Amino acid sequence: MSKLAITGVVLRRIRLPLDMVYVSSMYVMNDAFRTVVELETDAGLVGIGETLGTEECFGLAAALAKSWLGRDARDRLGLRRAFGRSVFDNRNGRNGWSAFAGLELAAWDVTGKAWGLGLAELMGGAVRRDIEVVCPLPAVIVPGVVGRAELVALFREPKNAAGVVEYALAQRQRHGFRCFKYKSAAASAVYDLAVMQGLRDALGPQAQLRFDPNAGYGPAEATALCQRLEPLALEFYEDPTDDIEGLANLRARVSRPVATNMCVIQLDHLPAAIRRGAVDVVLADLFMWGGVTNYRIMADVAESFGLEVAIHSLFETGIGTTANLHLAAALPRVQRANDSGHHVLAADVLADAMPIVDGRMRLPDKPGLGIALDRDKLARLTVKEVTVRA
Amino acid sequence: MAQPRISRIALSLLPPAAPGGAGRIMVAAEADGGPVGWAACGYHGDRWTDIERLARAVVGTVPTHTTRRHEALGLAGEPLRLQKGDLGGAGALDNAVLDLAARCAGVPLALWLGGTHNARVAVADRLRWADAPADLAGEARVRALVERVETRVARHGFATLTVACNDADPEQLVTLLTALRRAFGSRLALRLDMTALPAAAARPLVGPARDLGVSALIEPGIDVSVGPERTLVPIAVTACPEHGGILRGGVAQIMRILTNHNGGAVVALRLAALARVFQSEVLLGAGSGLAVEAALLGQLARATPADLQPLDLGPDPVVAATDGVTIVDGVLELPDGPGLGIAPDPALLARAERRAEIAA
Repeated sequence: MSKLAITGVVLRRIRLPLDMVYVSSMYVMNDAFRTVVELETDAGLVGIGETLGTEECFGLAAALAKSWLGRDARDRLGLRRAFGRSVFDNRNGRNGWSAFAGLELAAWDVTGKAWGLGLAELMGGAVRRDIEVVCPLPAVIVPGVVGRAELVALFREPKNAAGVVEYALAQRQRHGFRCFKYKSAAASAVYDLAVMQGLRDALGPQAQLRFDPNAGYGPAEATALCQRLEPLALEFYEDPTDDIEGLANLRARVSRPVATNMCVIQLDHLPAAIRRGAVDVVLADLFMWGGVTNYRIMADVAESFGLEVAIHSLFETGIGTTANLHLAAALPRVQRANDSGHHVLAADVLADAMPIVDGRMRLPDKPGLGIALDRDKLARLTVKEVTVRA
Repeated sequence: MAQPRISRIALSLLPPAAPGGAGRIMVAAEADGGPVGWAACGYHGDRWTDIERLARAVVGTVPTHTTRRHEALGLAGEPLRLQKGDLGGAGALDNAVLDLAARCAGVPLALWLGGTHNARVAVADRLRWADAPADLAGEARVRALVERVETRVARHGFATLTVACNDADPEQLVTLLTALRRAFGSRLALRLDMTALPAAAARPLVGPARDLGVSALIEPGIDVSVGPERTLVPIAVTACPEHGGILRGGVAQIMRILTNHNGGAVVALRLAALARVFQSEVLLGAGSGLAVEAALLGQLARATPADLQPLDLGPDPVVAATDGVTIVDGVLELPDGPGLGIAPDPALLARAERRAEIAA
């Protein structure tokens, strides 16, 4: 039986400009860095992947790529085992799993291409092809990147809360969104309440609203704030405070669901979160959870213990956005809209556009991820490139 | 992307492997003019009629559409909640289609399921009190049984032996275990299969099992599993609806998954994921004693991302490992052809006592 042997890996660290200044409790940024992976095989097929674009992740992916040369790209479980059979084997924590995720996604893509199957088909088949996506809302609308100190003053101005609401209405008008995620800067509970109340008033009772301060509030303040948000019937509170313990204590005191993409992000986090009753929704990021295989395992465990799974995003290129569409298409348990920041990218690496129509994106129907790179766009965005070959 | 469709499902009822045993069902799933996928399961309960009924929902579908097929077969949803009874009919049907899908892709089933997590898959031998000549009793019987094990260990390299309790009384079993330990020392890991043993018979065995270094008690029953004895020897419990509590509470250290009974290979992988995350080992088992099922178990074991106990291949692992599947140094060796890499012997199929065919 012939292999689909990996003959080379090309990694590009790219800078993606955003059409907005993204303000949250963690970031004030108008660009995002990602790692784009191309996995070359002896059959001439190339797999495409993506992961986080931090320097650490890029470096770890390049180091890992060397150990993949000569391996069968279809043997994702063998590659995963070689990377980390035990929790301890992966010496780089979530950065390690993120590096693995980018390469593994490329392995899934090239396997699908070899077998003539889409990624969702490889995962068992698509149960839906039009995927609802979420509109991210910055904590405040600013024309350019500002410092934290300057930012704090903006949260004292009620008109800035109204600015977020206006932005949401404009995005709904343009793309048909039904679901919105407000990225709180966790600088002012009063401001956050004003934004959320404004969003509910303007968008109506049918709109799904997520509140995400990225664990920026302490446990007591987060609990009090979420309790005050209860009448707004939000879709969920996402990481209102930190850690499994903090979320469990808060969850016991609110009625709306609690979600996380920060506190339960590895398989070994799940038992503690389940025993502690920390969350209702595992808002899982493919690139933090360590790839498609880990994601499926997580989804099976979550489903078995009554947890929901939803798909997290942080300004992926069209590659990662498409991967997330495949996850949503193939995992029946995913019922909520996918996070997505794709529509606020000022540039992308794909040959084809990914329109949002009536708040939904369409799953491609070609093999693998079903996408193609635009070489010129990719070259323009690349800030660093590493090629690994024998 | 046009994919082949399942054009025909054929069932054959094969005679028992030994007089007085249960028959076996061979399932064949065929694509339009293409390859055939195979699965085998034991014949009991309503399995034959289950498979006939379910096959009507499967013919005409695309083998790669696992999720939709699982909806039709009653295998969709939470993998533990499914485990309310015997899923053997649906499991066997699904396994045949998985073999077909892998053959259509031209790759071994393990690769179709994701790859090789376990390159080396160990197999346990199995011993019953009835495995000695009927006229032997007492010490002579124990001696004969130990000699049987010695012969098989020498020939096939088994490093684990599962001793079935069902046809011996507790005193006989302790005598047998003691003799085995004396003969093999630590070279042979011993497991005790207590399936269907009443609690009153199971409980007194736990202490001696610990003293004799038994490595696992398989299905010791709920009384032992949650009683004070549970801390003495690792316990294996077959995947069941209550397994969420078992995993959360750390009641059992091993999840037993039977490839057909628990719903087929894909459901088995989903169950194994739970086991792995809760740091439980996985014991994969089969029941038909046919090579097709042994091959499936081996392929599944390779693709199971969990720590595995040596496989239980059924009543006689040496008999199950035939027709291209072998046991060498206690490890299952599998052919590397597409799917299971083997097909049943036509002479075996010719002996079918009953046949059925469901066509698109």
